[in-house]
Amino acid sequence: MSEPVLSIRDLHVSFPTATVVQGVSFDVMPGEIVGVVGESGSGKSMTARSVLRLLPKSARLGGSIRFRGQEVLDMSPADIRAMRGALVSMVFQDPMTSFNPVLRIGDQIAEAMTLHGQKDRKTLSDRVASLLASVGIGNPKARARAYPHEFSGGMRQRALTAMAVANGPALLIADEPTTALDVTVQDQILQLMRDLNATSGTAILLITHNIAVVASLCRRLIVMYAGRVVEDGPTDEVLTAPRHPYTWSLLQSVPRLDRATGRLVAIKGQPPDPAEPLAGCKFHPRCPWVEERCTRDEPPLEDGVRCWVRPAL
Amino acid sequence: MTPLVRVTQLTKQFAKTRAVDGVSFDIAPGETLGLVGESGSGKSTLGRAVVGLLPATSGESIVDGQNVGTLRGSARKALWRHAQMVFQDPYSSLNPKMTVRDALAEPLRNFGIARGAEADKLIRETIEACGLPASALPRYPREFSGGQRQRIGIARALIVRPNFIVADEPVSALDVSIQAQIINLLQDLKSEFGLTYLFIAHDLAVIRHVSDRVAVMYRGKLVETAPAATLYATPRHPYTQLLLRSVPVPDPKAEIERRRNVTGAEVTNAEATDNGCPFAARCPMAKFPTCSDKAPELSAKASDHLVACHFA
Repeated sequence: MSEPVLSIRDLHVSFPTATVVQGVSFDVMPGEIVGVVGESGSGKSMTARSVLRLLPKSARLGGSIRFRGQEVLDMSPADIRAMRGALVSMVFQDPMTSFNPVLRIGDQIAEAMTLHGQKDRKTLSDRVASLLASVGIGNPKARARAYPHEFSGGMRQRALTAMAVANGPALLIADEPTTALDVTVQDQILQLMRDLNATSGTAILLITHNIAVVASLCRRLIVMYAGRVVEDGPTDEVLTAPRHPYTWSLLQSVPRLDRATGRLVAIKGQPPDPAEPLAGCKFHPRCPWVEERCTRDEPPLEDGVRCWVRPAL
Repeated sequence: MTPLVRVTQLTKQFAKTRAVDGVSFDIAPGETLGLVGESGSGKSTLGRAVVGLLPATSGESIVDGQNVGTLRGSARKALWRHAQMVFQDPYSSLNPKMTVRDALAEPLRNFGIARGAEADKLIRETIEACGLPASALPRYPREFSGGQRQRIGIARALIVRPNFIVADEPVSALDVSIQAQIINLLQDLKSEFGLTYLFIAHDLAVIRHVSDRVAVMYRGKLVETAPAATLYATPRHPYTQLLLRSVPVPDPKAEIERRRNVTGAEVTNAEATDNGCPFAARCPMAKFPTCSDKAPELSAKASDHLVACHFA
C-alpha cells in the first residue's frame, strides 16, 4: 500500500473564544477523492484550510498534518508558499472573489505557474490555453484575455479549477466548489473534477454540505459535526447503511428528487454553540437514541463511528 | 373552483431586461404551486409582482378577486391582510431594533386587527404555532439562530391570518438539518390555517416535496407546469429534462444510473435569437429556424400538463 498524500492526526483548531476542530484524524491516499460533509460550524472548512495554513491569525493549531510525510504545522512561511498552488491547491466557493477583478484571467493563471518557476512567456501562454481548453472553455486563446467579470459563474469556477491544477498538484482541496452554482453548471464542474482525477491522478478533498454531491464524486465520505468526525467510511456504505444517528438523521431530513418523500424527519434543536462547553457526545441533545452515558462522556471514533449506542438504523 | 390567484400575461421590465415575460398561471385555494428556476430566471421578481411588492409593467395579478395592480391606498393595504410574504433571509427582513413581540404587534396595529389583551393572545398563539415559546417575545432577532429567525419571519406573515403566502426561498439559507424543520412547519401551518402557497425555490427536491403543482421558469418565461408527480416522472420540456438530469441524488446506485444518462457536453446553438424560444441556445432538440423565429406558447399537452415547446 502506498503512503497517504495527506495524513491528519488529532487536529485541533481553536480561537480565543472557542475550539472549532477537535481531534480530527483521517488520511487521503494518492488519487483518492474524499468528501467531508457537515453543516455550518461543523469545522469542515477550518480542517481544509489548516492543510494550507489559511487560517485567521488568532487561530491556534494542534496535532499533526503531514503532506507526503512532511509536517505542515512545522513548515516555515517560505515552505508553505512553495507548497501552496504547486503541491496542494485550493478551489473556493465563490470564484468571483477568488480572482483579481482587474487582471486578465490568463495572466492570473500564468502567475500561478511563474511563482513556481515557469518563466518562458510562450510556454506560459500555450500552457494557459491548454489548461482552459482542458476545463471545457472554448476558444481558450481569446478567452485567456478576458477579465473575470466577462465570464459566467460556471466559467469562472472552471477557470479557477484550471488555475488550481496549473502546476499539477498532488492534492486539490475544493471547499464548496459548486454551492454558488446552478444545478446544470454544478453537474459540469463535478464532471470536470471526475475527469481531472481520472486523467492526472490528482487526489481531491471535497468539502461540502451537500450529501448528494459527495455521492456523485467521492468513494469515501467523512461526516463532521461540531468539530468532530462522527462517521467515516466508503460512500455507498455510509449512505445506504449509516451507523451514526446524525448521519442517519441528515439523510432522513433531505427530500429526495428521485422519489416522493413522506413527512420529513426533522432533527430537533440546533447544533451546539462552540463557545459553550457541552459534556458528552456533541449530538446528544438532538439524538433520538440518547442514553445517560452520552450526556456524560464523549464517545471515541472507533471503527469509523463516534457513538456509544450504535442503534440499529 | 374559482382560483384564489390568477396571474395573466404578467410582465416586469427592468431597463432593457424583461425579468418576467408574459407569465400566466392560476393557484387554486389550498394548493401549493412550486415555482422553480435557476438564478436570474425571474422567479423572485414574479413572486413579488404577484402580491404587488413590485409594480408590474403589464399584465395583471388577481388575488382573492382583487386586481393587485389597480389597488391604491386602503384597498391595497387590505390586500396584504390576505396575501403575505416569507423571505429567504429572515435577518434582513426583520427590524433588528424591534423585539419579536413588537415585530408581531406592528401588523396587528397597522391593520387594526387587535390591540391590548386580544393582540397579546394572538401574538402568543402565533409564535407558538410557529414552534417558538412565548419567552421568545421580549428578545431581539440577533438572539436567534437562522432557523428560529425564519420561524419569526413566518409568524410575522401569519399573524394577520392571510389565506395566501408567497414563500421566496424560505429554506435555502438554512442548514440541511434545519431545513426539514421549516418545511414541516410550513406544511403544518398550511393545513392548520388553510393556507395557499406560491413556494419559490431553486432546489428541485424541496419543490417536489412541498408542491401540489410545479411551474418551471427559464429566462422570464414559464416553460412547463404540471402536477408535481407528473412533472418529475415525465418532464416534457427539454429544459426541465436537463434540470432533473443535472441533480445528483444521495444514493450511490441511483447516482451511477443518473450519470449514465448525462451526455456531459453542453449544447450551444448559435442560430438562437431573442425573438425565439428562451431555451433555444442551449436546447438539444432545437430545430431552426422554427425555434429562433417564434417563442412557443405554454399550451396543454395533457389536460393539466402545459409545455412551451414547438417540439415536445
